[in-house]
Amino acid sequence: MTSIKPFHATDLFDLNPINLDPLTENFYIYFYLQYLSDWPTLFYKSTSSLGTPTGYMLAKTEGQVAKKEWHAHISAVTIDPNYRRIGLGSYLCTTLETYTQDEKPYFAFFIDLFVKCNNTLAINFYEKLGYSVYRRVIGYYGGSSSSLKLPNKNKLNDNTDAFDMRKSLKRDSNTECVRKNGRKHHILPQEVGF
Amino acid sequence: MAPRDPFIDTAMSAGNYSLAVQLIDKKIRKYPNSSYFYALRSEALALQDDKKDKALTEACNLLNKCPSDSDTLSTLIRVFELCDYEPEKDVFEAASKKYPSFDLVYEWFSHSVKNGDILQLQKSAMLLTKAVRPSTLQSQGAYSARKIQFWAASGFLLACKCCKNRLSTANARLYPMLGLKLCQQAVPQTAQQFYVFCELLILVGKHSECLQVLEEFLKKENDLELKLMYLNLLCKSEKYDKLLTTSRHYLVDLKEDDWDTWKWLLIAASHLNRLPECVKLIDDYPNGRNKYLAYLEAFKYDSSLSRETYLKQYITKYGSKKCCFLDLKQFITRKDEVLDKVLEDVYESTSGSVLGDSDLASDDDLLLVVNYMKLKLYSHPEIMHCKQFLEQCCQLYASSCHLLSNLQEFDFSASFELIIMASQAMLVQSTSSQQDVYMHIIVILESALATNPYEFHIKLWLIALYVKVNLVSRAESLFESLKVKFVQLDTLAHILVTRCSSLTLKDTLLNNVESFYSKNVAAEVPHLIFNCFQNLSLSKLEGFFQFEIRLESSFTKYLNTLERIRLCRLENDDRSIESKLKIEIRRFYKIYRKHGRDIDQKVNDNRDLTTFWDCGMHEKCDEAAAVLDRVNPVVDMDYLALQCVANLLVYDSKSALYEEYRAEFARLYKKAVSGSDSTFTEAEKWSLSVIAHVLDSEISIRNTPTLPESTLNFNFNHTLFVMVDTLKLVEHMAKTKRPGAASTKKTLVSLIPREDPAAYKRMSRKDVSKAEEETRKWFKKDPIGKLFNADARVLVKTFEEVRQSAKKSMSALNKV
Repeated sequence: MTSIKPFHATDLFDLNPINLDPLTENFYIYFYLQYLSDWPTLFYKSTSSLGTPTGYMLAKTEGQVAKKEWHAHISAVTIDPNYRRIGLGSYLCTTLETYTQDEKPYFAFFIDLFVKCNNTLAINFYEKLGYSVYRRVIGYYGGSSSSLKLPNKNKLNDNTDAFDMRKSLKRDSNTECVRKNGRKHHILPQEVGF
Repeated sequence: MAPRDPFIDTAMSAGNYSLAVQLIDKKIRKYPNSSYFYALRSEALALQDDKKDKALTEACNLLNKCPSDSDTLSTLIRVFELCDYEPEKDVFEAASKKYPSFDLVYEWFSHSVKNGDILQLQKSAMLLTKAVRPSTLQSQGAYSARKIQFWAASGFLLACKCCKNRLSTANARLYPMLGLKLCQQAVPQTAQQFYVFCELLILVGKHSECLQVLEEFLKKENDLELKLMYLNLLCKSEKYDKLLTTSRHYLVDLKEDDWDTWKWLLIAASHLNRLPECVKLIDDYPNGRNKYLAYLEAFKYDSSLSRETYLKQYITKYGSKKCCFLDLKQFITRKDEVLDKVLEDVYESTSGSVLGDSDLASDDDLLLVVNYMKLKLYSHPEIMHCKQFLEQCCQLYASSCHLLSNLQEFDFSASFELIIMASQAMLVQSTSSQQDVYMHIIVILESALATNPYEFHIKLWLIALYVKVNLVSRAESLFESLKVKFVQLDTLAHILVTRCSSLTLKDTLLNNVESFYSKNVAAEVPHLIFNCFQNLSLSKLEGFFQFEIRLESSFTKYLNTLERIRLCRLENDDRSIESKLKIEIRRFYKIYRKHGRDIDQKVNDNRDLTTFWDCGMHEKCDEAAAVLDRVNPVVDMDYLALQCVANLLVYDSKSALYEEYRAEFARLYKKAVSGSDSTFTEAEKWSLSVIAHVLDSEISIRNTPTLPESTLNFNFNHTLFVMVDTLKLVEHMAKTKRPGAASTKKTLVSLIPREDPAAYKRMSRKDVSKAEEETRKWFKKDPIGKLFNADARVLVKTFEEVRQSAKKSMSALNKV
């Protein structure tokens, strides 16, 4: 059974069954607390019937409304290994749509996230949820940070490149915030903006 | 504010307090009107045991002059802490009430946030509402009157929620009313502001008004926190009609398939005798876990429904999902006959594929049998004693081994649960020596880890077991592989930190843990609480404060300090104990002696003691835990308190609380040595009896602890370390002219075994070879051992690790 509940700072004490998983990053305290204090409704957890966290969503809003860039960004979404493959990840993501697409409080144009180009499982997962690749960010995961040379937009590396994936919300009625053939649209990390 | 002086700071941090006083006196002559240097002088005096009285007198005189500089006030607070003195009024409170300028009151507010002092925060926030004058409002920018009103309202709410056990009856009634008044003046607009408003309405008992406010708000905005508050309050207020329609609205119209909402729906329906209607709703609802579990929940209210059908339905649908057992756990009982019947039906049809032709067993089959074993064990925990259960776990594990080679990177197989259940059964059923059983399980788990390298429960078990066989360096490398950091250090470090300074002198982990509290917590948390106030994220404030308080008064934090003290003592680093670590355990004692129920009135134990047991039945198996606890037992609050008090008796003998330390030591010592299931090792009991004897010669020293025969036993290093450490403790007591310490020291010197370091190494080499031979034999010949099909290469590799690690353990002995 799953309930969605607001995340509170004290939940950080109970995340071991989720965060000991090698794929889940453990962030500095300030990272979690910053999200809680800046976007209190976009950090929520799924719980078992006993109230223990089984997964969580960490998201924020950013961008300018005037440029139709106002959107929700998924920073982290993760599930306790005991609760995987039952649609919980999808549930956390669709819940974010519920909270961000209505006029109050966010009224975002779209939701986006970054995923490594070689993470086929995650890409398929998001595509099933209606996300599509908007652009490919070359060297997003630090591939060329130590090099003085600018990365080459045509030199692809699935290990270090990211797909910026997006899903339009109701406010983007003409689906201007997404594009077809996004995989062919390459940019550099410094050009990301929104 | 007077400028800080780097020379004074250096003298203070180097512990040269006499020089610091001289330098401060020069400053006082130069800046005779600066209250800060007078306060600093008191601090330098208070840090010297024989000048505490003088320090206190000077600090009190300064306080009577009502200084208003925040550095002075903070320094005075430290002086009073060092002198174990509690002024009648809070230092900042007294100053702020006399000079209620916005800046000073804000300093008070900041000081309360930094210290997680909620009652002071409430008072300071309230005074802030008065300190802001209308004419200055425009220039205050971030501190608008409206914002500060919400801060103050939140202060009242926090005081009522977090400090309720010590609020007077009058204040418990008054505070929510005052908070409510502030909210009404400020007029809530956002969900976060309505949260405080509604919480206060509930506290004053205005439930109907609160429901109305929430209903109106939720029509405009679907806020999760307020929705939960609304449904909860409808239930509490027994408005079942409304609860039924609202929960149905969320479930059906808004398609929010939320388990709590299902529960509320069924509670409401049962009170209104409308369960059949709800069962129909469940029938028509799209398939999903909550739907199938809702049937089982409905059965709780109507026993005419068929539990068997619902259980079968759920297991058929979700039996091959990892969540199956955890979902069903609350719907099943011990000796659950209905469950047994369902399990047999389901198992009959699937186990064949797993046990018969192993190549055919799929991941789903494996998960189904794992769930079957878990459910069966939960229904009949006594099977843990049966050899047949152990055999079945091994058989199923062996039959699913081919699936391990198909694992994707970072994924892990559910088969580890079979191995952990088998390990628990081995502990429960063990007849051979503990050390042998530990070693057998280590090889079994190393073997499982080799094919399932990302499974963290196996690692947690291995860490605990390696420590029990005195192989701490291997435990450390496994702990490192878990990449434990930040908050995880607070919850998980105990698995390695507990008694680690009696095994090795390596202090990397202890320093990491210390750095987490002093750097991450102290630097990050208060800043983010201010951020929370600034953003008016008011629903998060309670959690932020609880988080801060739980970390500042954390069990692990003080356990870590104790271990660092022992390491420093063993390395003759008395300076670090005196200048830093003593202050920490004094802080512990001051929290501990409050014995309160509120979160800030007690030491908070945040240790994660559940993840270790989060497999099999997903609860602690008491019998297996008892076998594990025979060596290096898990420690508790009494352990922490007794060890801290023992250290305070030695290092804080000039404290005003000294007699209290003695009484508390006597009480806890009596408890520790009388309990049969003690959390103290024999060496620790002996060590405490030595201190007790020095304090009171009537108390005799317990029998000298004996070294275990094998070096592959936690108690080998532990006993030697503790004996040497005890000698050092007594030496320190002798230096401070404690009567009886000198003669006790002489006795101890003759008791401590003095073996040639090379002899320990020789012993260790023999012990490892003997253990390897015994383990090989067990896996080859023992009926249980044979079941595990231990991989010969893993066995070789494991004993290579054992050899290396044992060498390091013996080297550690050389250093003490």
